[in-house]
Amino acid sequence: MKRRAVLDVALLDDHSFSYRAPIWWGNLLMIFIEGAAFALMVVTYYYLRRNFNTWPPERTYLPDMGVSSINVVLQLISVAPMWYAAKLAFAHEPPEEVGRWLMLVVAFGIAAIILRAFELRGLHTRYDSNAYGSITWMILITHLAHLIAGSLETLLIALVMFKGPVERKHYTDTTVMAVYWYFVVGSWVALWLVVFVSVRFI
Amino acid sequence: MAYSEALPMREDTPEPPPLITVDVENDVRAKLSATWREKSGLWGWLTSTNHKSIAKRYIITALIFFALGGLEAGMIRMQLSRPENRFVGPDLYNQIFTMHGSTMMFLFAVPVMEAVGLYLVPLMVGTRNVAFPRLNALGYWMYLGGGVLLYAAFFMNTGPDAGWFAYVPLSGPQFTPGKRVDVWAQMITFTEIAALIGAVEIITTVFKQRAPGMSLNRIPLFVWAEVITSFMIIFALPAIVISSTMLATDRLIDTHFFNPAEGGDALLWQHLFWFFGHPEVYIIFIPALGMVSSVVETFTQRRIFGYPAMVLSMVSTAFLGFGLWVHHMFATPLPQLGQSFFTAASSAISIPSGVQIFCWIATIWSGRPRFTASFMFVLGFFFLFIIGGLTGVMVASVPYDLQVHDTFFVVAHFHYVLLGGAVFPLWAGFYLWYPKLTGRMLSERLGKWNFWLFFIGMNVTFFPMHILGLMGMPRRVYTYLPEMGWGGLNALASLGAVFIVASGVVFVVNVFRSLSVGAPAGDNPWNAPTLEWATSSPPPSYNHLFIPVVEGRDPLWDAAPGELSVVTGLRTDRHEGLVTSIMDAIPERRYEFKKETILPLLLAVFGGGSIVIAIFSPWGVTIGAIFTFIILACWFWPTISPDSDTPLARRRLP
Repeated sequence: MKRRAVLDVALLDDHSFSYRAPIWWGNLLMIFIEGAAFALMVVTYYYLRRNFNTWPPERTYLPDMGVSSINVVLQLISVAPMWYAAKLAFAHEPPEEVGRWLMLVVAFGIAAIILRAFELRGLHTRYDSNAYGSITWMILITHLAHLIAGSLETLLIALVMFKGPVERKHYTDTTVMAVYWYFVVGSWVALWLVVFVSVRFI
Repeated sequence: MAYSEALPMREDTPEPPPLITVDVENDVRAKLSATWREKSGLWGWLTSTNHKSIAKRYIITALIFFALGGLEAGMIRMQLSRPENRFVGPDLYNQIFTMHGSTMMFLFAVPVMEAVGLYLVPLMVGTRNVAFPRLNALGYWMYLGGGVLLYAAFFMNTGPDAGWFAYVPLSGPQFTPGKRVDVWAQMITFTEIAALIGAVEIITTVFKQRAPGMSLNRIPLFVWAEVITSFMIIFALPAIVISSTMLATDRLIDTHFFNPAEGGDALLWQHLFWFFGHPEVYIIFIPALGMVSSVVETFTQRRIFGYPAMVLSMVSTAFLGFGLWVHHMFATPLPQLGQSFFTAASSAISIPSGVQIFCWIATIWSGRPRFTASFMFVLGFFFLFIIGGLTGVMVASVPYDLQVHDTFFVVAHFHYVLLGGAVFPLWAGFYLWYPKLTGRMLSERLGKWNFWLFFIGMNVTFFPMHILGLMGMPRRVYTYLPEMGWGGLNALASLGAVFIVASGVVFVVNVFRSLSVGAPAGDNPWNAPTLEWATSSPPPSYNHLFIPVVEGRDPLWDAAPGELSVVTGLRTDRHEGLVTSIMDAIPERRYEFKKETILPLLLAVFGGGSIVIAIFSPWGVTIGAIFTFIILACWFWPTISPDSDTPLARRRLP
């Protein structure tokens, strides 16, 4: 078969951001998967509600609003440094500067992880008490896994920014990491509304 | 950017661009072969990240599990061939039918359909590898781990025995103590990770790596089928992820998701399981539709009739597939409105299926059909799938379903749909693509034997089950009394299984014999229209010498005879591919694929090991998380190598 050269791509860049980057799509699909899992946990939460006369069940206190509200606010604030780190990455600013802002996000992440322990105590139930305890613990623990994974990944990218041979693709990784972090925080706002707020009205 | 600006087509330019000389081709071929050479030996095998190597072992592994699942089916038929048979006892029988269902669904059908996609999709869209090669390798190792776990447990008499859908309360801690169900739940963890990885790979590869000019309306139907299936995997599998986790924690750390005494709910399991389980059927079936389209187009030498209708039918099948899981639960207390809704939704699925059948008939009618073994399997598919579809419409109706629920009628129905609707197209695909994978033709004579033995055996085995079901024979009984009058039809069904085994033997003989004595295939033995036939058989590790430029829906038929338009300018000294835009496939950037590494295997061993530990202790999860992070950190940690980036960016930034 003869081949005719109709298109030369030698001058194309080998770097891109956002929906032009394959990794951005991989991350988005990951978010779809995890988002679907969270959605089904919410469905389970309300499905199990039907088996109880009161919600939370009798002799169980309402979950504490105090700590959980602080954690929501804290996570929402953490979006700001992440957004700024992504903005710097888009502009190809010096890696150390991007890394510093990412470390700030990690600090917020660690704080949120510590607060999660108090939130679990504030549920006033255990995973093996009854179905209410099981599903609320499942939601909080699964989201905790996301907080830990998100913080560790952010830490890893920050370390690359400080230590590693930085290539431009790591800037793409930073912006993709930001999208994932927004998902972690956004999904918690929804789950917090379910577990800590809606429980007071249903 | 206007399409014509981005892609100057031949007619837009006053003088046709030059042909690439043989010298240049040889030069590029030598460089690409050196860059993309796969390491030899065991180490090369363990570290490979080439999509074809991985997909081939995926397919072979899945076929081995198909054979094992078939052996279990053979044992079931042996046991049921006469009343009060003592071939196996009730406990082993429970394990065997659970293993059969779990193997066929989780270790054969879904993986093999994805594996064929992982082999063919990059070739068909004209790229050099899948988007995330290392992740792809991890997917295979996880899948293998799940299969090994299940069978290791089975041989230690710890095979799951609560049915492939593991209904609670039977599968709960109270009624199935021991570790049998835990093994099942963790096998699910392995295979769901593998399936999700495959889905992410396929979608990203198709969205971002199509050859220039392959706009959405020019994507081959098989590729469409794989993309649609992958989206179904992404939205359906989370349901089994969380339900199998709930089941495992109910059994291991005393949560109460499914324990009615503490406010849990047994029907919750059925809802979550079938919200995954019904789409699962279409996850198996839709790739098969894509294969049928490829076969029909190739062996009628006619463009597929009604391409937009075909794509939209597959999309609507996928959407509807999420809206009818409750028809598996008609025997549970449901609100009447729910019954009506799910009956209507279940019947509605026959509409897009019907549209496709008519499109294929129109294609065959107006084409010049060649009755090869591959095409015969497609004709068999029409016959069997339509029977399965008709009984499907029957069981979609609640009053009828209540009569035949949990009887052999249902067994007959879903074997017609799954064997007829998925396995026959898969075999049609084997006969179509075997020359591409191996460079040799399969024997047509043995292929016809393969087909007729399978077709006859399939009908002799499963048709009598309709009648047995109507006579009241329930599923999952290890034996029955002579007075029931089920002996004759069961003996007939068991006889049919002999034909199926014989056809399997013919297939295996054909595959191995053709490897050495099959006629050489050449690049495109069937004069097929899609891009996988534009490269040699078997394809080189870099797939296409030059990335093709696509000028129509059937690239090889639309190109000038004996000529292919191609892209130049990609680097040959590293694993480089082309990223194009999602809608019109306009070139956007060059892209470096990750190279081979041992890390995916390490992650599968340590991560998988911790999943196995989690059968016995919740600490498995913690240990696994730590190992996973360490390995992922190594995975992502940048290394400077001369080919890691363009000279401009290789220096330390800024």
